[in-house]
Amino acid sequence: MSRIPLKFSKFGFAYPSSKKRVVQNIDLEIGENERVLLLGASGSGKSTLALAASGLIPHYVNGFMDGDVEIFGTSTTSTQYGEIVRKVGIMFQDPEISFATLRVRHEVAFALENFGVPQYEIDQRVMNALRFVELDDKADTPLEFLSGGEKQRVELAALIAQSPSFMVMDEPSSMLDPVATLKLFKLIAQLESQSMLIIEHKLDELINFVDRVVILGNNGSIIADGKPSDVFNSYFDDIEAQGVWMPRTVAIAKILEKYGLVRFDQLPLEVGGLVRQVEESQIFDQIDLKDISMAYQPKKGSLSPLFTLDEVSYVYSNGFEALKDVNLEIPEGKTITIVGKNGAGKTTLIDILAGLKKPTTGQVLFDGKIISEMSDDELYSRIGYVFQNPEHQFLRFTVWDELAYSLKMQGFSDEVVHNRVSEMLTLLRLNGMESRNPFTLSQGEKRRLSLGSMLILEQDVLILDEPTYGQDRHSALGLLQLATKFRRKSATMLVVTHDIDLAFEEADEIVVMHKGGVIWNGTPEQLLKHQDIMKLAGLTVPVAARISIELSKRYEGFPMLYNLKMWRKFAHLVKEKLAQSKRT
Amino acid sequence: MPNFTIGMRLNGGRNNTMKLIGYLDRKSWLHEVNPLVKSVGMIMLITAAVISHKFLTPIMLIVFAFAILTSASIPISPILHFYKLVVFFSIGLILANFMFTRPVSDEITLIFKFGPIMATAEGLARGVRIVLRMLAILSVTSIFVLTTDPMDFLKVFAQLLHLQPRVAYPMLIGLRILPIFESELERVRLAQKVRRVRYKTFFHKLVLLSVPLLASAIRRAERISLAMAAKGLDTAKLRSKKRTKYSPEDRIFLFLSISFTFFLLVYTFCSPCP
Repeated sequence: MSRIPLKFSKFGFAYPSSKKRVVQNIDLEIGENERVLLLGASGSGKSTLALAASGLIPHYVNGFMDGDVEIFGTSTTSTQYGEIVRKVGIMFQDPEISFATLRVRHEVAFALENFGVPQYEIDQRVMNALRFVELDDKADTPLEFLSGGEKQRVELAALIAQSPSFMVMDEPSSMLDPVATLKLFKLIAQLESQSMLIIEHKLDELINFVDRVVILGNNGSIIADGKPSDVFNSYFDDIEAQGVWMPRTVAIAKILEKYGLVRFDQLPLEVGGLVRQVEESQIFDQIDLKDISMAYQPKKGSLSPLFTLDEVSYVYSNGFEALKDVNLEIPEGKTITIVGKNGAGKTTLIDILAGLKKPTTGQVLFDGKIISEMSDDELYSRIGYVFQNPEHQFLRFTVWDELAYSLKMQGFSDEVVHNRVSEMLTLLRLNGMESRNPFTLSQGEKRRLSLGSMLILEQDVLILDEPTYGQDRHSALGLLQLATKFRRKSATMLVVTHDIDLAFEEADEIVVMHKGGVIWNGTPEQLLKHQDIMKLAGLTVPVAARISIELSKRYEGFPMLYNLKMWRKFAHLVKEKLAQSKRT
Repeated sequence: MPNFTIGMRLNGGRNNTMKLIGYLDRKSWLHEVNPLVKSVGMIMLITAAVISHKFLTPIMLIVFAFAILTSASIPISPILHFYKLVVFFSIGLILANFMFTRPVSDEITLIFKFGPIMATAEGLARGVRIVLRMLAILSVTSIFVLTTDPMDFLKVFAQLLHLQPRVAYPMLIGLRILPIFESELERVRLAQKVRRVRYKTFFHKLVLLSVPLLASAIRRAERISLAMAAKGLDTAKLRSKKRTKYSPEDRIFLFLSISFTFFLLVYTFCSPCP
């Protein structure tokens, strides 16, 4: 048996539904005990590679395959799956879908039972694995009682118990809140001597755990491969052009370089590295940062609230109290992100704000009127709601009709409908797809279409439920920016997300939820001062803010910059100031 | 009536948990009994309840069921809850039997007569007997329902019928997916409400709601089958927790239900007994 866990040679794959290759010309070798991080934009074929690396392609997925995949020296096509499955383990995004049983202990034992491992050995391996993921006290708990993070840790335990020689992980953290993500990554990092291929886009948290980064381009072939720091230093432009989410440290370092403030010998992958290089450049020693900080005074809020929630509770028919005594005012014309753990009540809150659910007790005012007394027509000509799963909203059989639907409902003339739809197609980058069936679009296109069908009516309120669902951060941020840019100017935007970097990227205000209650709301800057609240809600400090905090220890008056937009503005201001002082 | 609802989760797997068809998830000797043994015992007891026309049979069965459940420290409150559902129905049943039964024999005890209504003591007794029998069957069934993990039950049956894991597991998973499906239907309905859909006919509604559901169901089924395969399902022979032979719990349960059924039958055909 060869000691090389995985080797792709000229691998390519096309699904039966289209002849186009999703991935092509893949040559990739993963060495023993090597941890390889695979990056790529949404739809670049990462999951296809994961399936091929675990032998599910070609054994369980139909399609056209080129080249060869070898696992420990034997080709997957000529090996029975029963043999492959004993060497390779794979972990998927959604534990809900992977579970085969109802209880923690049984779930971890499932694969071992299938392999026919003797019972006494199963018990031992299960308990060891559960101890490793710190769930040994929950061995007999039904899976449904676990939090999202715990469910994914059960899956990790199941993988550990299998003790495969090679592991594949396909975005294991995509359903988790920031704290649960960190915990999962920490456990993965502690795994001993494991060769693995891991697909993730939460780079900042993971980049130090991996030995190598491989980047998959949009055309489905590898565009960069090497040590993490080398890859980002040598291929920065290519990677950025492909729409891959950058580590925030790299993105911020690039901003500082672009404005000519700091020259980096080595693009930093850690906050510490970035701060050190900035300090060495002595750039901020030369200027007074206090003036610049003045530019970051928060804007005055609007006076009238658009939504007022008064003692709102919501109880499901089975007795689960999803919202408890929520009092909240939502100001007009701002972007508000709603954050919190899974099951904290975020979706229930926006459902109630959109008048989709009637509060069990308490009342909701929308623009001064009691929301439950408003008709659907009145309400939904003013409120747009983009659901998590875009398919849920599709009603028509072509992209064009899908966009035109609401306009026609509203009674616009054919000419207006025609103009607006063509305009919207351009904005959404869906030109040329007018006659396609919405269900056949790619995930990103579906999301843009469902956003477009809401933007097109130019409503006063736009609600987005979890833009990261089914796509990576970069595409999710793109969707958010699209919404911010093309909504009506005075429109209020409400965004639910568990991705903290995303939440800080566009928010004017943040609402923090925990166990059915709104435990805090205010500006992002204020939230960063409340560590206790962030911890309770499973939030971590975004990398951009962590860099600011570190630098403010060194430089008095360094402003709190918690997203890239602010860093860009800051770099611009510093550059101007330097130019000014040079002149005088 | 939360205890009788099929479903584990609503609203996309949030923490609001419901009981699965009344199943009480805990440890007891009854939980350890093989579901197959349990169902055989149950069928015997129910047969006895159906055959026997004696007044005391259902009462004895109810006491037996309560005793067995109590021995395993299973609360009987859920059964009382099921009873409540039956009560309303029962009153009607008793009244109907009381007042409208045409006696088969000539010996009748007329209580009162009003037009076509003829209320007899025999009718009343018959009504009460039917209701008691219903309650008895309900109580006996509860032993099974409250203490049997539905997944376990399906597994044992699949084993009995020699179903391939490839066929059997999707059945088990179907059970788990059903509630997710239900909550997804709710999301689709809400999404269509936002788009102000007006369903023209029932058929129109059915099509509009089922297209998105079907699309995601197919995708989910594919992903689940991959996840199962990745855990070596196909390499496995279907097994359920070490239950190849009769466990002590199985024997106790079998002994109790056989002997009690035997007792009831003897009692039923014993003419001098009340």
